[in-house]
Amino acid sequence: MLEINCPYCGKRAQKEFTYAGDAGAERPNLETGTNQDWFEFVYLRNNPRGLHDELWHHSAGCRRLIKVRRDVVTHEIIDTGAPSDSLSTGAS
Amino acid sequence: MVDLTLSLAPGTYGAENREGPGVTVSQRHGLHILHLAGDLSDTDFPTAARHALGLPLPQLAGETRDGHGVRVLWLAPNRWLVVSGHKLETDAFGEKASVNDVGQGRSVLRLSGRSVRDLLCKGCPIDLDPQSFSAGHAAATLLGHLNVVIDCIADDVFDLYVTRSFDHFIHDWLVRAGKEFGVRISAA
Repeated sequence: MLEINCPYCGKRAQKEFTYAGDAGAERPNLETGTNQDWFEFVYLRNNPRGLHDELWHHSAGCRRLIKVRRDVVTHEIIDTGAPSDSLSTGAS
Repeated sequence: MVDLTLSLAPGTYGAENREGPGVTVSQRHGLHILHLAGDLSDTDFPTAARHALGLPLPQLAGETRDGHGVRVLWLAPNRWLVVSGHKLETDAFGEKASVNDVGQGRSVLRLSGRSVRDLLCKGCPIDLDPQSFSAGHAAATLLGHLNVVIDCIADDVFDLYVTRSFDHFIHDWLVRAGKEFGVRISAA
């Protein structure tokens, strides 16, 4: 079980959150986006080994979307913040 | 309104202790509950809310404020639960607020007794140690897989806000989880 630090509520158990997808996926421009852009946005995801930015919904708490930078190998959570925040890289 | 809640029959369930049941569950009736939303960074909203409530809105995570027969619970950024014994006018919060009366949809249970924290710990993922969750703290969280709001009134007294249709389920859960402590469901 992960312990996710919600930027609004503080540390809460993973059980209170719902995974809401890759935080790195960029929505194409509504006017200029091509079919290929949309295809990539909707279906294609990177599957990196290591750090990954994810959106989580604090569905049983404040019901806000948050951004979580997590190491998918060790499950270590490097940083969390609002979806618009830029997160720390964890490098010291 | 016909009350369709199917709470368990009043009585004592589970272990019998010489000191009496470890947890007592009673239903709080006649509360007016509003869900309040508004932007704190707007200048008009906090002022209007302060006038309507007679107290400033809590701004810290999990903070509650009390006074003039009103209790205000912080739920999320810019979201509060307003609980009062008397009816509050929703217009009083001003044009910048979104106010919803959710009183009909919530069942409020008052849990008290020496084992109440031990019982809640069994189904709740937040840290309920008295040092981190004391009187004046409230949290929207889970209890027995159910979304609830837990409000700490005093060291061993808690209010539980549950969706009304899950009222029977939560009574059932409390009785099952509290078997070892003994749970008294009080009448009305």
